[in-house]
Amino acid sequence: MDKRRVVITGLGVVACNGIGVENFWKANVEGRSGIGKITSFNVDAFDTKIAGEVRNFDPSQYMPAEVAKKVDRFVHFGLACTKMAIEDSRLDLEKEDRHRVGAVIGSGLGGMMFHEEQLVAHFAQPPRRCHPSAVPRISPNAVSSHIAIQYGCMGPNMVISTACASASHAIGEAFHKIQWGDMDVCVTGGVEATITLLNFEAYYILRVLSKRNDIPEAASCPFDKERDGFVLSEGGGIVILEELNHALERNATIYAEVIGYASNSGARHMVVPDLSGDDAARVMVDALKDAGIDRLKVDYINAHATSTVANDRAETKAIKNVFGERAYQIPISSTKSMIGHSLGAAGGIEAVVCALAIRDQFIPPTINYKHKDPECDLDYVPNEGRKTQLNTILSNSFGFGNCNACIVFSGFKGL
Amino acid sequence: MSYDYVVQTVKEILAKQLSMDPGKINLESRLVEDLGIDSFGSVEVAFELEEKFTLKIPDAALYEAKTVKDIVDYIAAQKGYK
Repeated sequence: MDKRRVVITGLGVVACNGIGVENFWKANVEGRSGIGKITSFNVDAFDTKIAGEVRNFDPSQYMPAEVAKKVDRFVHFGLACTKMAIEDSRLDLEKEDRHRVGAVIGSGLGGMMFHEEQLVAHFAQPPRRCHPSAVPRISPNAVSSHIAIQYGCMGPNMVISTACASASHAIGEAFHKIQWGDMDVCVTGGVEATITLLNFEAYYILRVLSKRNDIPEAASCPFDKERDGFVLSEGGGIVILEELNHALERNATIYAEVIGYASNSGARHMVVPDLSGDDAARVMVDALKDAGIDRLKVDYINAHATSTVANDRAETKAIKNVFGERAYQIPISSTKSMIGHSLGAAGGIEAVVCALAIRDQFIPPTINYKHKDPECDLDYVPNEGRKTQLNTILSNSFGFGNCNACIVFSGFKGL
Repeated sequence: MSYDYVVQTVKEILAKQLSMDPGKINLESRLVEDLGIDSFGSVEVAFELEEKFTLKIPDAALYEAKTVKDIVDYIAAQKGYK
């Protein structure tokens, strides 16, 4: 059978610089950061004092109170973004064949928040027992399961965990499943809510977090010569993927088309990226091959760009490797410059950015770009967004463990 | 500590678990057929009761309780409440 076409018909996002699509997009267009001083636990013991906490998020707006009480924060984000995306898509689930509606969600770490609370209870004096809801609250697949329960999605259902690439892998796998006829609609993207004491300490002790605490909004500065690590953040980004004819038959509004996806491994290290950039280059080439389009067609790259010395350098090398001299003409920007690194949510939030970039023909900036790094000398759309003709976008996500993903989005040009 | 206190507390814990008005829970209410508690819900309720009354509810006792009164009577007997 021929591969079917897949389009994006709904968006939902919760990020530290905006809850809801229009708030979030406005912040991105204006170059506004959501990074701040950590408020949810004491950071006296650490030299990093900043994160991208989502503030003023009220789960009861998006789900019944009984559900909100019983699930972890990452599921709050998943259900909230799904509600936004389904409403945005105007899908009437009553009319859908529920066996053909799936939920494939990325999450690197699942219910770590509740896991830590249980550990604290266990070691408290006097010790408290583990709560019976621990298993369903902590399991990473709680997010795809609760989406299925809430919305009656009885198609393919899974959570994909590949660290920082989780959401991109989820979207890519969902894309392929729709292409090949396993389902017609899919809630997909990623969520993460792990700004917790233990998890924060885990990343801190790896020496990958930025210590630029003085001006928190300026700490995340991808590609800048003075970058010193990423800023941990949380959030969710969900898109509704739909088979094209299914979308057209119900007069859905189409944001963009998903046309290609590839995943691979650099097979070198659990933390350090492949510094040659070869694996990242290969995943971009493979995604373009999957899309069946020439690399000349790429108008914009939404980079992984975490603001670590290693990633940004390797990614720049990879882009040059793929595009040669033309790399200098392709605008590249980093969503993480404004919202930090939301781990398993990143690829989902960045997919929302790509869909809106195509809708509005606008590239959000890489903010906090002040000092040129000779090893990162491409066009990173520094500090100010850019109105430009956009048709084909690459979205990169490279997870710890050399787990790579690349998705190709394009404008929908009709049948 | 009295039998009435046990009744009141058990009703409150059940009501919280089921997100319902404790006034709608009677001693004769059947846990499964009237209150709709499933196997996971009964484990959670047992946990809260054990915490509140400082006692252990073994699996057998859990399975045998069919009504609210069964739970109340079990706790009252364990703790010597009248």
